[in-house]
Amino acid sequence: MTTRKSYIILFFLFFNCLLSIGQIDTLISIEAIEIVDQKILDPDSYFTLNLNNNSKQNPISSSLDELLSDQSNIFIKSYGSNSIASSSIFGGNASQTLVLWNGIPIANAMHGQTDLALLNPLMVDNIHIQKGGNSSVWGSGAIGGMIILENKKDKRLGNSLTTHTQLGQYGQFFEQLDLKFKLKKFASQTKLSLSENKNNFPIKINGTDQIIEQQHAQFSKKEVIQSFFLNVNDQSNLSLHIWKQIAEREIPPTLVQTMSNASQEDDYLRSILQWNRKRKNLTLHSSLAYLQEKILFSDQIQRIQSPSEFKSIIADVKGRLRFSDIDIILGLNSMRLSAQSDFYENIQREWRASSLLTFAKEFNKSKLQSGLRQEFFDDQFAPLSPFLIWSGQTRSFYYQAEISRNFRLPGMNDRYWQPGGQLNLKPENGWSQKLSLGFDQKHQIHHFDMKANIFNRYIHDWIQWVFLPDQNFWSASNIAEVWSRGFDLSTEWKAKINQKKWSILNQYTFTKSTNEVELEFPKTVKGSQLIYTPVHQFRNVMGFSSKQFSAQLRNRFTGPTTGINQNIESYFITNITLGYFNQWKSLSYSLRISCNNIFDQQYFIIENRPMVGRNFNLTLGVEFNTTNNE
Amino acid sequence: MNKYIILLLMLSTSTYTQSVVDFESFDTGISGFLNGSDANGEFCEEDICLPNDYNANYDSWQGWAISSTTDTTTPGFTNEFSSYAGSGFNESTNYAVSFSFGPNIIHVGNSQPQVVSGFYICNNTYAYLSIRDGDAFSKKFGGISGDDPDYFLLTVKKFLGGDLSQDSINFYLADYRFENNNEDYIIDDWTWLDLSDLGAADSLYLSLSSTDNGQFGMNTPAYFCIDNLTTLLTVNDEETQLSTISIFPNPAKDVLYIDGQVDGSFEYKIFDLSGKLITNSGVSRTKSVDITQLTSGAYFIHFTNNGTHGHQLFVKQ
Repeated sequence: MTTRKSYIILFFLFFNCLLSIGQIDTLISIEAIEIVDQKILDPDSYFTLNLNNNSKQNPISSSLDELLSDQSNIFIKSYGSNSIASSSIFGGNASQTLVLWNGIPIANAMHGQTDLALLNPLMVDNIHIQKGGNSSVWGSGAIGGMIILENKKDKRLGNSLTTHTQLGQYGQFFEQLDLKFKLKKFASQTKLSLSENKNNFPIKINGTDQIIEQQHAQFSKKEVIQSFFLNVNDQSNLSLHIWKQIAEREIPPTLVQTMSNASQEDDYLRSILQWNRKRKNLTLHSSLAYLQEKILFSDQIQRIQSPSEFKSIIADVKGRLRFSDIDIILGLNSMRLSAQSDFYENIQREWRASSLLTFAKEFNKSKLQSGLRQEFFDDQFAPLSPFLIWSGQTRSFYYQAEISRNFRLPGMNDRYWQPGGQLNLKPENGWSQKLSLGFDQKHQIHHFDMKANIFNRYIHDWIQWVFLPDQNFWSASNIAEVWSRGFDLSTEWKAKINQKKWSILNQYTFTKSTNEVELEFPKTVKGSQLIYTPVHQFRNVMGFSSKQFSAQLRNRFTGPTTGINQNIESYFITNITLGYFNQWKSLSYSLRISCNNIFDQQYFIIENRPMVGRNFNLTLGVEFNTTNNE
Repeated sequence: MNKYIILLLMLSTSTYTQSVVDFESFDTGISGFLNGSDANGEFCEEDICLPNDYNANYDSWQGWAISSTTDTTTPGFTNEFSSYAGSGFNESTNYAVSFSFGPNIIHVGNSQPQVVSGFYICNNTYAYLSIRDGDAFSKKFGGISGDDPDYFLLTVKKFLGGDLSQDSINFYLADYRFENNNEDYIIDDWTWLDLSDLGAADSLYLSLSSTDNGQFGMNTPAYFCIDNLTTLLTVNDEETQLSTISIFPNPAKDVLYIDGQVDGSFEYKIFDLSGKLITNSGVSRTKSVDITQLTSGAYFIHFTNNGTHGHQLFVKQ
């Protein structure tokens, strides 16, 4: 592509951005996006947790909440199998984890959360978890941390067809197909998936011999992601990702509910067009995204039909200038949101825009990064959000110290819900500090790795729905303040002995996240731990793999928490996965069998919402590959 | 009965009549309910006023509504106006629905304190089905095992002269505290709640409590329904013709004596404070009334003599 053409594309993307700013009924954003090897911007940095759903030892998970609760030490707040799930990172709440898909925030703009139970890890190629505040770089919502999902062009493989078929107890069925097709300048990747689950598992009633069966909990989901990659020339490329998903799920009764007739349908369309160009010291990266999400909650017995829908158009332009050991990034973002609900007076629209400037300088074995973000929404400015990071490495020792100001804009429900929404809500905001230390020692056979994060964060204007004496409904308010602090520690030992790999991972997380304001309704005592936020978490993973076999034992302890209505006891869950792998010419295949919750613990994450007991599943994976190591 | 009311009745020389407010004067229209959208701020019938707080922006209300809806099967807040009895008391059309995050109020007299005999009360369908079956936000009473000692309680106090009474009357809209679970109950029909022990009041102060509570307060839907609210009023001019009649002793144990101008025999009827007829058309020529069959409590005696009539309140010991 000629330079002129490239600028036309850039203009097109910018023009759409500006056009959308001018239109009321569409929306746009420019969210901070990827690129760069600066650690804070690079999802693949040393202190980032990278999850690979296809690694040999790991089980195949068809939902992100299941994957994260099984293979990471972040806390997943799940209402049950295939029910709504969200994350809590470093003591943040569900809407303080920013979920990015190819650099675009995909949280529901109405309630500000992302339902992790509906995200399928196999529909993306990389999953990264970044702990700690990052909204000074990535924008609203990244207070507790980030979950980054990426669809990447597979550089290693030519044409391939991969399938995973999973059968499990209680009506579990999962089928996934991944088709990769590649020409010289063009590549296509198609991911299809179908999930079904009856979830009719037995539930033991504590203190009695009674066992009941979970009712009204069927789940089904169909989705497809189509990605196209085009190398326009040596200096620029285009990619297009389209993700369509339809999920239907019944909402089971709680243990103190005789029956439920409620159900929810989620219909998502997400699409992103991205253009990257690199010329000399300048890299340009542009994205244009359109997101649409329709949700229908219904309960025929209660005569409730509650549809809601939001749309967003997001645009991002980012330029990176690099001179020797200095990096400068300038970014502009714009987001147009529109949402409607029976509980909104009209279709509500918001425009958010932001600018980002970062500066990084590399020294001998260290790097200084700093930056500033200013976000604007409707008629007000979000707090100016700077960050400063000092990171480095000496032999086997890694360190990173950072301070940043983070924020979350009010969700549209917080502003427009009737009754109770408050237009004048301020963004949640506060300063975060984090110190990360790492020790990585590699020998010929052994590899020892130790990481620790210590964090501290104080959030002002925390949005809380409260009941005020002078009105007869709950309303959103900036009344709360929350202080979060703690640490996590992770040690991992790996060894490769006679072509056999062994590993042991231990992780401990201590999180104090306390209310700093006394409230009457909801009843909140100053100094009390946030609900559904465990202070203690421990995780242990022991793995083995050879050329053809693998085994992995995973233990997870979650300390007690307080719920809305009652305290929730701690639980200890053990899962095991055994795998067999083989290859015949271009065909490789695998068989995994997993037993989850081996000791059949009856446990709850949310009170009266039982989690599944001991269960088995079997996964057959097949890959047909025409070309290796292109 | 507390000492105050006994003293009040003994010393009282005035006569009383009862007034029953049944809310039938309200037209609930096609919707079957009045939620205060007319912005009057209250529903008044005779001397009784039920306050209403309506928010026009959100079409939300709390306090009192007047309803004639009859749905006894639909769970959830979309059925917030129905009584579980499926009608008003005695299959009447209208009744009042209480919903309040905090205490609710009934104003019982425009100018002077009045004694509220009581009212009929029934669970609202939303609350009843939630208590029986649970819902996404509240538990079915008895819990998982059925043994949880749950209850849903209405406590009634009174305001008099600006002071909230210490005395109160409790009424369990649902009670699962029995050792034998078969005795657990949820009020499913109109039930008389006797409030006469509270004595004269400017207003009643009604508050709900439940064993199902969480961080956001009470989970049990804060609804109940009332009908036929009965008060004791001073008689009007036309009924004062027998006001010169007095009764003694008061309180009385076995016999009630009549003092005053009574020509020959007179008829009398005795009612309890709910308005229920206890003794029908007794005739006395001896200026005395045998009350040995009555149980202890407060009663009305209604006289008719030569076309005139009147009421007196007395206490049977």
